[in-house]
Amino acid sequence: MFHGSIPAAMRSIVYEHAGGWPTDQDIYVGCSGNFTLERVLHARFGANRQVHGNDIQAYSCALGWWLAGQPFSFTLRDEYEDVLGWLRPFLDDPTDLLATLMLGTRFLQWVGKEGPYFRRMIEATREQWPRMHDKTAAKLRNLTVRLGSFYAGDVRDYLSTVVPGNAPVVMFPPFYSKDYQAQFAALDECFNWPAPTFDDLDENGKEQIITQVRDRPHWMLGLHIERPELRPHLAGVVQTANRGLPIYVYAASGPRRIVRPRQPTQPIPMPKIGPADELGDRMTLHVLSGGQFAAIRSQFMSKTIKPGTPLLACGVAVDGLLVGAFAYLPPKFDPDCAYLMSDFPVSWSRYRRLAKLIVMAATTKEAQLLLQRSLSRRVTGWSTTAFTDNPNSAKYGRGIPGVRLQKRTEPAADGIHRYQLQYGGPMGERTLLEVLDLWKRKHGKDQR
Amino acid sequence: MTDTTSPTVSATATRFRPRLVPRDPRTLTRLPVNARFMRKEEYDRLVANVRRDGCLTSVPLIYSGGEYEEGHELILSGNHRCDAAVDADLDEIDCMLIEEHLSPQQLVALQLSHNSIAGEDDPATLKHLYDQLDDVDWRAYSGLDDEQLGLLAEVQPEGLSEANLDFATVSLIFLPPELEAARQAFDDSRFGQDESWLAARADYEQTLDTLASTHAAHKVGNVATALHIILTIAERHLDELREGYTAPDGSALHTGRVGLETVLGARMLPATAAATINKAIAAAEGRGEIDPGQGWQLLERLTGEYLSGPNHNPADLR
Repeated sequence: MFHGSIPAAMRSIVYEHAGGWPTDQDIYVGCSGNFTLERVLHARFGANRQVHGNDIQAYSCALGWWLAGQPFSFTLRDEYEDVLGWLRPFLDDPTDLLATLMLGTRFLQWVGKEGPYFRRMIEATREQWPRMHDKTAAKLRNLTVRLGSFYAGDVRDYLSTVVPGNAPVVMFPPFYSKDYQAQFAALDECFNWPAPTFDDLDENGKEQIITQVRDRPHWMLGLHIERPELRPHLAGVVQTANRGLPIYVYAASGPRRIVRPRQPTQPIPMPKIGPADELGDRMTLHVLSGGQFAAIRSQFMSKTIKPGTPLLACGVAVDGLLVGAFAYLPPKFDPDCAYLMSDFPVSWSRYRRLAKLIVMAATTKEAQLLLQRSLSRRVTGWSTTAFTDNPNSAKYGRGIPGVRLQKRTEPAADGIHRYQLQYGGPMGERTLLEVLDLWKRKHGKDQR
Repeated sequence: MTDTTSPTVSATATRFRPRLVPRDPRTLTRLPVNARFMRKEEYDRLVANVRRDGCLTSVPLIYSGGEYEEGHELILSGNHRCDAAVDADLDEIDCMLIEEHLSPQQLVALQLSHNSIAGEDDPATLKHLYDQLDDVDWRAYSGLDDEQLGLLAEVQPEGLSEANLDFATVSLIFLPPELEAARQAFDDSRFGQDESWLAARADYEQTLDTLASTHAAHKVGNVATALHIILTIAERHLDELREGYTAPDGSALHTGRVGLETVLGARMLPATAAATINKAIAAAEGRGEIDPGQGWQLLERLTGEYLSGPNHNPADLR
């Protein structure tokens, strides 16, 4: 399993740009990863154009050698003979070997780990191995994409010794993905293979790569950080989610493209509480779709907060009037404690402390039931983070049963507010009816 | 002849003549109720554009009508633009100010009309104009993007992925004790590929508690693994299931069938013992002493004789 794939919009940009490069030259890809760029170029040119690849990781090298028709050797380490010796029949033929290594990226991480979950996953893999291996190998055998050559080694050496000076070069170097090497650690651990040597990529190394790529008539470079000195070459910006990192695409020439995040929204077919409306006596929760939550969040939540994707989002209504919404993420550290990612009231109601009612609704027995249903496990607590310029939060600070300030950090990590406050409390101690009654007695009289 | 379809102007509607005034966007009064909202990404774009321009390029409409103090007028149209001006650090913006007193209905109608009477774009012309923006920043400024306009090349590279582990999904559905609803849900579940198990709502809390205890005891986070452990423990205590069909005096509580493992307390027995039992069953079947395929009858007969002697009649105990 390869993480860090190139988004579809990026593939389209590469596809389009490659169409403008000279037709009589091979194309060279650096830091091939999952060979997405090579496959995109193949989709454009088929077998009419030679594409060459390069990488240093075990998975990518095996795939690169195989795609280039070059011999490659991965042998099971002796110390894994006992637990992985059953793989032996699948290690001789190059395609069988590659299918084994590809499947290995999924299950080798469980080898040697104690616990019933890991044991079951390993047993299931072994049991289903013939089917899984057959399917993977068949997919490989049907693949039509091929490489002109593959270079296993440092991309700087590749650019200086292998890639011709006038050949088009395209690469999205993994400068900022820290787990790139960690994801294939299990392959290195279990197999002997002729791993290339390479230097750690420090800031100077990154600069060197950028210089080497630019020193050519046709090039494309994808980076996660904007480089002002490359501004005249900015060919595209791709950001597909508000919380996702944008990719800046630089190129020697060619068309300009941008892709921006766009949250899909859906209306909630329920009236909202108006400025003149009195709160009734029957509070209800309504599970919201992703689009419905995105819509109400856009309307009432601070624009300084980047939208995330919740596990569970609910509208809170009283007597059929929507008064606010909340959303939870799965537990982060404590498995029994869900993370309240958003909670906000309908801002124009006459009640000043309606926000507290939404928090209280989010911690009721009914909310607990919905959360437990989503997770199929007990949830006994909740926690959240507030960003504020005050040492205590007006919303979570007082008057909500059981809530406690767990941590105060100064300055806040959002770079906007002075304090970052961690609040939390018990979940499911009261019903919706009880918290509405409590809220009315404690906070309901504070009106505009 | 009177044309009854021609528009008429309400006698109470007032005409007005707004004038351009400079205002601090921070102090203007926002609409208390506003149907218009902006997605975060759209709002961020607006702020970026305002910051880049150093001004608002379309003018908010504000209203005093003798009801709002100077500098605190109500923003009828342009609430997001005023917020964006604040976030872009503008201290002053130009606004169109209506000073005449308008009726509440006219104010709402004005507010709605500014958002709803907005025209439409011809997609082809939109693309044509957008294509003239040969700079990434201007494209971003436009508020449109290449994906939204369908301008990206369509690419379908060959797939490269491994086969997945096969697994079946089992949903545990907890229902209140309405029999008809349970039947219906069970019937519905048959149409899906995955299995659904129905359980009583009363068992929900106990199920979660049992899962929680199992998660903690075995230090596993995975729900399916915890359920697997619970089932393994149940397997080890199969003989306790006999409480379901045996009364305290040893008689049978019902006439249905039960699992042999709940009698023996184990699914397994030594292969040598199994071979002996198989031979005896085959012999009893061959001699017509038990019905074919009903090997348990021999076991019943032998255990009955063990309890009552050679004259035991199995029918006596049924």
